[in-house]
Amino acid sequence: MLTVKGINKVFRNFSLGVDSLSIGRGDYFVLIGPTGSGKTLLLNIIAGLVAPDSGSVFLDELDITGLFPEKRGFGIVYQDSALFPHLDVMDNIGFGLRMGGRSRKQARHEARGIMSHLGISHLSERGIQGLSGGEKQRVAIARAMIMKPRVLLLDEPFSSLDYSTKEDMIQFVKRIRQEYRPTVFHITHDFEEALILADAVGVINRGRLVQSGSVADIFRYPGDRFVANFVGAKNIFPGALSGSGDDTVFSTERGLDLYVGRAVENHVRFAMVRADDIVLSRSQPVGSATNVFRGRVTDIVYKRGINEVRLCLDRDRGAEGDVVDADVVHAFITTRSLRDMEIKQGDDLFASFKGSAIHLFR
Amino acid sequence: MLIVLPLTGMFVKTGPMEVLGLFSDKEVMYSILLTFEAAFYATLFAILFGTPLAYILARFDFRGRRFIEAFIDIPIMVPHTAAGIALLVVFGTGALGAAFKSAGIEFMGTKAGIALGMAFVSIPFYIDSVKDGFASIDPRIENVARSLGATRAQVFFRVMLPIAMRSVFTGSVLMWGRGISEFGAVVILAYHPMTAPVLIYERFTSFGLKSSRPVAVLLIILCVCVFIILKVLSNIRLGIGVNSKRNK
Repeated sequence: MLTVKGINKVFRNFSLGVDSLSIGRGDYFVLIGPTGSGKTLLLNIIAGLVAPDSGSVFLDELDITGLFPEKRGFGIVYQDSALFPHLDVMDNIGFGLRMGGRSRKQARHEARGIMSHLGISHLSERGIQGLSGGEKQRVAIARAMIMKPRVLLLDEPFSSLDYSTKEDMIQFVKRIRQEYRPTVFHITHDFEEALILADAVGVINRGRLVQSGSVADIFRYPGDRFVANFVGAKNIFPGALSGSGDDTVFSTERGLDLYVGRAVENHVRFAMVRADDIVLSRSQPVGSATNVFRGRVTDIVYKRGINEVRLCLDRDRGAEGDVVDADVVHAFITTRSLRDMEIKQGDDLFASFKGSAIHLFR
Repeated sequence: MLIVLPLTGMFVKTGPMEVLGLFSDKEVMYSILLTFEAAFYATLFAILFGTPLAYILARFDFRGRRFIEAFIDIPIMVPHTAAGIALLVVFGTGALGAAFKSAGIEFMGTKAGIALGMAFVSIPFYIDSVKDGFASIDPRIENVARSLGATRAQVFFRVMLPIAMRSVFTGSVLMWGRGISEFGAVVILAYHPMTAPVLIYERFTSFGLKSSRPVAVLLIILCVCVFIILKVLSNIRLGIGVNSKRNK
């Protein structure tokens, strides 16, 4: 188990402060945050490359805060792979073994072994310069894994890869997980990577860990506006609560009433409805949905296997039907349903969702 | 034009026989070998002590770093005769000089003195070149090496130095060449034994232009030859060296 406690580090005019963060042995933890949020600094502190001003890093109850990086047995893979330019692929992979005192011949022999195990033997005869981005990352991962690291640190490992290479690399990392079950600390600004790979996720902003938990939790129940935006949540409405118990209503600033139908904390400032919780229909829906709005389709965007339908609510349309500064509801719908319902731009539809689909947060 | 005209002019005016004749002139041959040798020692000194310093300056941010960097470049600015005087004061007559003398090393009128003069005025070229070489290496490469179990010393010798080898080589050639051409600081510390630039000066003042010109031409030819050889060597050793690994 890797634990970070009370870490503080002031670096020029940036300050990092992480009270507590734990990653179970063999767990895959993804820390997401925008550029400049302090995630790389935290990674460097865990790696032992930067000393914190205060606080400690523990590995299985053992305080390793003052331990040199070469004594930690952690592997690092960077965005641009940071391969050694003066060594070929096999010497790169065998580098750690060489540092541990193995002969070059032995190190190359073991490097060949892990390469064939990971299905990258075809790269063994190559120099570093001729490798593609994805190949470099595979070599960098093999170089780290040959040391059987206690923790694998991944610093934006897929960020400079094109989309399809990235997909391949994610599969490759999944395979590494299955084979070696390393404890992983992975930092990225891309929530999708977390969705696919992570057991647990933390969100960092301006040097503070703003939320951590399971992927599903963060995805469905973001704790604040920043996290909600960051995980790509749609349909976020600022507003205030009224009523109580079953009659609880959230009124948006623009005057939309959402029937929550359950007792909630009083100091919420935002309501969010996930785009995949919204049901679109041609006719007034019958059933348990308590929130039904009529609107006109203004746009349909196909992205990553799903269609996002943007609906401009009727009550916001002016006399001539022009849309001015309207509330827009975003709904996800499969291509199949889109075709079956023959939805196209300009159609009038009903958007409905249950009160339980409304997530409220500060 | 500024560079080409004086060089070609001198070559045109000097007959090949005059230059070839110098090979039997013991004084000339001795001074040229002495110059090359002393410059070699100066360069060796720079490689041993300048390389770690260049690494520290390239990688560590500490109080006084900028001051040291500026300080290293001072020899480039000051008149070299003044540098020679300064060295003479410290190493020739001062306590430091006495300490070296008791260790058997004298700087006045010796090979060591020549090498010292050369080193003092040309080491900035070496350190600056190697420092740039180290600074251009991604620090994350060092981080990875350390995470793989390399100590700081191993990182330096097994990763940084091999990657920066080209800069070390270029810096050495630059410094060696700069050392050979040094006159001002060397002449103050050691008029005798005579290095080639001092010899050229002496022949010029004692026997005139006609006598000094062939020596100058020979020195230039030899320097250019050595430069070309080193350049080719560096390409074979470092350039193709990296490529050949690709085909292994």
